[in-house]
Amino acid sequence: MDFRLDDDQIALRHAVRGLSERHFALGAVAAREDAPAADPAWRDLVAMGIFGLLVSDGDETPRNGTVTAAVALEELSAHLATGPILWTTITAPVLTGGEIEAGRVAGVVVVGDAGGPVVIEHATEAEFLVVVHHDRIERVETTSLPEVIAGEPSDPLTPTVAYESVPRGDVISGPDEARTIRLAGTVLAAAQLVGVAQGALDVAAAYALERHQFGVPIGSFQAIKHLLSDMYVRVELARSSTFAAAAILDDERGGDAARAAGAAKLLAGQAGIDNGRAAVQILGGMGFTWEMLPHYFLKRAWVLEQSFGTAEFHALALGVALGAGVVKA
Amino acid sequence: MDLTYSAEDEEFRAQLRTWLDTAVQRQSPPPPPGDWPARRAYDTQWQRTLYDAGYAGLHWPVAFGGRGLPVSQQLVYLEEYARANAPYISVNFVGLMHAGPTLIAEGTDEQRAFHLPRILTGESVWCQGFSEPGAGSDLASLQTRAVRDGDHYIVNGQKIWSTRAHVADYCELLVRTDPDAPKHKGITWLILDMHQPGVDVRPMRTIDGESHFCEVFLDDARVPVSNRVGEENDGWRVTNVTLRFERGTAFAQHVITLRSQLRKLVDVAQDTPAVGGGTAWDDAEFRRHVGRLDASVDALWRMTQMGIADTERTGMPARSGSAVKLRYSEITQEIADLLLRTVGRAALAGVPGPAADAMREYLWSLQYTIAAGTSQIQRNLIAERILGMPR
Repeated sequence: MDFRLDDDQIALRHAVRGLSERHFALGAVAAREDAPAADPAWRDLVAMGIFGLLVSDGDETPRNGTVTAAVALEELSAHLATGPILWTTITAPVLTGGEIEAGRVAGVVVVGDAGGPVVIEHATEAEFLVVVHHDRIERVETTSLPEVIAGEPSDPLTPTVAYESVPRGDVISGPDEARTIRLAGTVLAAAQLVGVAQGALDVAAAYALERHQFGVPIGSFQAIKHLLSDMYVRVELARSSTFAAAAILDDERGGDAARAAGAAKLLAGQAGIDNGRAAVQILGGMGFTWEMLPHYFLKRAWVLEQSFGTAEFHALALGVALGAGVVKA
Repeated sequence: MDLTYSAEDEEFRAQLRTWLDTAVQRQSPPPPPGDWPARRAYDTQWQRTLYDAGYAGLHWPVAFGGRGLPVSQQLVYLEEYARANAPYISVNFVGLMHAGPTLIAEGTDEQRAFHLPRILTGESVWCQGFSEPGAGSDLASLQTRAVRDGDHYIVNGQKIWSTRAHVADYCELLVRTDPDAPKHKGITWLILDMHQPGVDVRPMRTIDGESHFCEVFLDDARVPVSNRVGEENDGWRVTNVTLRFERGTAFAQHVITLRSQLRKLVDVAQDTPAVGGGTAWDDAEFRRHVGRLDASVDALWRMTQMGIADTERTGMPARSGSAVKLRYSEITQEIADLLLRTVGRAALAGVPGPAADAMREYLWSLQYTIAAGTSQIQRNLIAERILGMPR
């Protein structure tokens, strides 16, 4: 039992932070609006090996791979990194290596036949599209997609489009891989939400120190302190839950994977959205302007909240599991 | 990062589980609420049972009579303890979690040799004499005076919120020894013998109708200088050792107990008929609410585990302590609120069983966001000490 990140993971966090500051500087976020995940940022992510973190080396499953990926994706997300990072990371193990090299993968989970439009992030900037069903994974040719339904994406940093339906593709994997991808996606979406929640807290805390009213920084008022400390508590709780879930995915003897993943996603979704909103509030009138950062965090949080199960979905699953007494000690 | 337990840990778990199952079953039913002498006897007898089986002071160093177990086994212990629904630490809390660790860190060899074994065996019970009517959140403004008289201190003043002081033998007492120094610099930490004429303990009736807390009036109480812990006027530093333990890991048992409280809520809901048929549990929104609580309870346990591991490695209580304390106290109240709503009107008539318990637990739960640093103080601490906001 060891709750620490190892030296390689800490080194990776620093490297990803450096990359993020070069390519995804928060001060220049407006320039990345509606822009595709362009080189050289994408090339550098590939070169750093982010998309190979879950891929086996021969028969060797990467040790602690989900935890390592969570470290990288949290950090990127705190900088509002652009591009289909989550889906490219989680689908790498089921797509053949050479073919997707440097390729961007968009994806979507389809639950039953819910009807209505299928909404997919990054579909228009990806070379590959993966559709995860309950019992299989399909690869769909992006050229076979129908016309998009005209609309404006809510998050200016996540190109998102809707289709009336998505054509069937080639089945590339079965139910086991589908489960693995759903769990990895749930936990890594949680890691990205933790990054969003932390980023929103950092922006709000910096502003509270800088902005003066009544002759003092607004961060000296208890009303502001308490909003900030609630943001901190949310992100710490979500992070503990997320990294625990990642470690359990890497070694399922550590706990119940589905339950841990759901709990992490639920808490991280709340942290991402609530911290985004709190940042808007703490920046006051400025927080309501497009010019400032909070709305980007809030909008990204909603993109992630609506992926891999909403808070309501996971809350019900956790409640039902507890009631059925199926929870592992 | 690795959350699996080793083979040795699992062996420890198996032995402990077997022992606990039998020992808990052998326990007589706990005394009725309000019978404090019986409560003390019950709690100290249980502590003695733990001690005899080798399960006392697992987190204390071996040199001081503890087991000095690795962190992983302390965590196993807490998990199994909660699973077995073993008796709450109760009157032994201050001794095992505050006074003991403080003496280990700051006490003299004589103080340790005398007190530590008595705490471990349940022979002596401790209470805390920190808060005063005029010194709550602003603890350092305390006014209880201690004046040197030869090899004794003569103590005068009033303490409040001393939990279970009416059944305590010793008190970790904070006194002012230098009224002219800045408030943090004139405080001394003393071991007060509660069994003496100058100590008058008066239980306070709280909103749940019970008397867990006491006022302690000190009228020329005498404390030998040899009972001072740390130097004279250095008590604030010594206190912070204790307070950091309190905010750090001493609440682990509360956190793990949330699991059984949540299961109990589910049990009661599954047994409570709903209007229009079925049970309270059939309501999807109720199950979602429980699911949200479950996620938070699980995350709090992870944070606690990580905090305990940090403390073990660095020797300093984890800084996540304030966050854990804030959330676990709020979640305790949320569970209690939901339970009270679930049992419905029967709680109003105090119908014995889950209904009466639910009201008592609900009222009792309100102290969690006040005791050991109010939620408002915790939020200030987080904003100032962790996020760097100006004071």
